[in-house]
Amino acid sequence: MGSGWQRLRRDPVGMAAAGFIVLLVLACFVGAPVAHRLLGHGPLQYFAYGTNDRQRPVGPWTYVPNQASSYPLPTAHTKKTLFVLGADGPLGRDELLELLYGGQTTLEIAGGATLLALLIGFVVGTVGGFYRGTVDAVFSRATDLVAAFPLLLFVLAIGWTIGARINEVTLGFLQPGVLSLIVMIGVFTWPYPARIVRSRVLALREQEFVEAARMVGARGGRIIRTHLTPHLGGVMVVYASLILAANVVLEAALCMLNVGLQPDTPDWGAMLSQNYGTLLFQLQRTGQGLTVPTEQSVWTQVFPAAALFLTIVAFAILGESLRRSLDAREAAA
Amino acid sequence: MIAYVLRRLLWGVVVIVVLTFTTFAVFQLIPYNPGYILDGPDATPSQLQVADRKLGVDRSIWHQYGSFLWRIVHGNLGTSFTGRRLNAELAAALPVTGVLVIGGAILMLMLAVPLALVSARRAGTWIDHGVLVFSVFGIALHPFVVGVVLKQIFGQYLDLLPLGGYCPMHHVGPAPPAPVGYLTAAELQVSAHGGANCHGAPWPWLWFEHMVLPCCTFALFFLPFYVRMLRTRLVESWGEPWVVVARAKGASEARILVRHLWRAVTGTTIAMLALDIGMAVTAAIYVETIYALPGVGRLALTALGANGLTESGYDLPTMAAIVLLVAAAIVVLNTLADLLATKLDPRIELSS
Repeated sequence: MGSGWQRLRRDPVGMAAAGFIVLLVLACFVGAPVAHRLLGHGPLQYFAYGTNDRQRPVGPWTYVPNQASSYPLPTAHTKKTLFVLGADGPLGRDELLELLYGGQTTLEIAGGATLLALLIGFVVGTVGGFYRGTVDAVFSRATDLVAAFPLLLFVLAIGWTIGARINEVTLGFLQPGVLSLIVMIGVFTWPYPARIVRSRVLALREQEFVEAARMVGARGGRIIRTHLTPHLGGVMVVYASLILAANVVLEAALCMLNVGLQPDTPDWGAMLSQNYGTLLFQLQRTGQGLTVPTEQSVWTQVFPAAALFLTIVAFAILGESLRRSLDAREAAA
Repeated sequence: MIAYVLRRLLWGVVVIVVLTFTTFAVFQLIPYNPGYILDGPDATPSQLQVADRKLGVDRSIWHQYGSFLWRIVHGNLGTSFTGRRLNAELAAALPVTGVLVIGGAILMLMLAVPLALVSARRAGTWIDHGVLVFSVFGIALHPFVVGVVLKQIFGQYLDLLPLGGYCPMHHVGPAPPAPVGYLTAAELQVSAHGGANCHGAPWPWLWFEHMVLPCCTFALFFLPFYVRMLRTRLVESWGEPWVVVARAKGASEARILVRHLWRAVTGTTIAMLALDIGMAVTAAIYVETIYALPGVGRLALTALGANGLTESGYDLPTMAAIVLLVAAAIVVLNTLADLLATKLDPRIELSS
């Protein structure tokens, strides 16, 4: 791993992506409460004057009267509060705080789902690849099946129906609904790591050190734990990054298809779909009497889209550059 | 080879049975009652009991699944919980999704092959880097965002193309003027086409202009993956011994490409296309949602509870029919792709 790490450090694009991810995590998990305290209002607080009278959210860097209802009418002495990135939509909430707290949710879901996918994939891949035979055949078939079939159908079926029941499970620190999304996305994405791990294990199991371990009497479980696992770390890290990127996409897509999170949980996908939904509504040109009085702000579409985009790009680039440094190490070895 | 195809199809039948049975089993596990679909959210327990009997969900899962299989063998997909004939529903929805997927795939390949070719021939130059950056960014762009942005630019600001809806591939007669309740018959017809007004202009043009943006969105969804894969494949192939031999015999690069490399490229493309059929259904769900196309994706979303009655679970017969069709498509197309792969590259052996 050592020289791979050095090679990564010499890759400016990969390091920039890694730096961005560190900053992002800090901003979301440390910066969000700090910003909350500094600005003095919460991410889910409504402000009557966060929008104009046609429900168009205020633009970036606006001082908004600090009150939830329209009355009493604000005067010159009314206390005002700063909306750094403007308001989020017709409800007049703070876009910046929602982005930061939404980042927490998005990263929790994508990260948790990736861990789950890697765990399932690791078990299926190592067991199938190491023991071969019937187990491998069954596992490989299952992997092919899950990979080929659009499980989105099942995820939606489960999400829309029993999602509500498991939404309440929070393990004490997660937002409601996060755990059910983690499980749904994790179960959806494991075939990819499973295939990679299996092909690696197939190559590794023929090597001398495995043979030596077997000769001194080590059993399968022990060989997998102590001899194979260290060799799989690198490839798992690479695919963790790539899968995380894909999971951020998937999570946002699930939000747009109306699965999972409660309406009041801040989340990038939900922020985007909120505008997307109103967009659809607004764009009814043939509209059979569907006149929509609300006005849209372009900011509320740009910010969550940009946040999603940058996060996905960063994870994808980091994964690519990790893979290149790992490949180069293997080519050299 | 016939034995191979038979074995694959037999395996395919197993896959289809597993997947459709899962659809039934998941439905049994969901603690919701489809009787609400018939009687509305305020149904009483006795009403629900009658409704359950009518929908046939009061019998055991084995009985239900058995009668499903029996109907399938007779070419009948059954009736949805909302009382629609599924054969007709799917016959109406499949052409929409088919045009979207096939048109999108052709468009995608028309873009992917030249881009990959340029990128591979000029490997390491700024063109190559440009294509790489494009593909990383393309992967990161959310399909919903791409769809909504395309729709806003070409549909809203430039006003070149319709914003959504679908016009069938046949002439839709002029709307009868008689009013029906609140909506005129013309308006009812419009709502049947997802908001599109299909009267007036010649139907091929209306059909075409409604499919342009959806196909572009679909193509952009897959384009980055194919560009990258094809580029890698081309760069690899250019160094292969048989290419070196051809070059040594004096073949021009163009001849090498046309006579020798197309097999490698076509093989990779077909293998990827076959793997992506499941993904294509997912993409179709996104695209059909954005552009209000009345295709299989929309049908699935509606059956899955977009009816607003989440107490009712999902529409089991519709879902079972869709799962059946998708699984059958995956099995048949994958088998075809494997057969084609052996035709293109005789080194590949058939093994199931």
